[in-house]
Amino acid sequence: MSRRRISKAAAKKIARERMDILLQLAENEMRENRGSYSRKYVELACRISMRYNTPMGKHKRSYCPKCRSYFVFPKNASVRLKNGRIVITCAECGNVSRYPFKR
Amino acid sequence: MRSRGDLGRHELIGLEVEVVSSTHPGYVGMKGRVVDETKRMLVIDKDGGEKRLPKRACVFEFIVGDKRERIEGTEIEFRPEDRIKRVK
Repeated sequence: MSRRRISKAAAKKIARERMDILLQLAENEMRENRGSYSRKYVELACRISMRYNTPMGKHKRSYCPKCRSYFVFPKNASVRLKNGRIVITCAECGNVSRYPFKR
Repeated sequence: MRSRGDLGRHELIGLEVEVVSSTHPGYVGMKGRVVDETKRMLVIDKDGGEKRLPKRACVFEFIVGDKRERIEGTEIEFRPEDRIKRVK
């Protein structure tokens, strides 16, 4: 095993900054119809998130959990309220995510 | 954010890069925006075409803000998500 050269807190700080940068890039790429780059960036952000135990937080619902497409809302995903749930349908892969909410 | 000395651990995708020296003369002077990264390659967008640059063979200069930062390719020869822990 390699010696840790960077403190855990510093690694997490960089990880969070990198995730923000990558998701911003993913959004821009998706807006300009370059979905394959966009998915790569989201995928890398997810891997960083898992590796350094830094939760996605506010970005959690901004991409498809199945195909990692960044949601640009009227364009590649729809949001509907059904039976007390927020239903997000990904138009890239057809995946349906449901999140409960309280009125 | 992406600061001096920390760049090897930070995100390279989206930065402008130039090859300043290389073991292969054809790579020297290649310039463009980084669009993808693997363990051994940097993929840059050069006038609309993708160019793959081997990290091991090149010395890069990244443009961060208005500064240029030089990084040996061998220093960053790790998977992009591993660089945070493993660089230096």
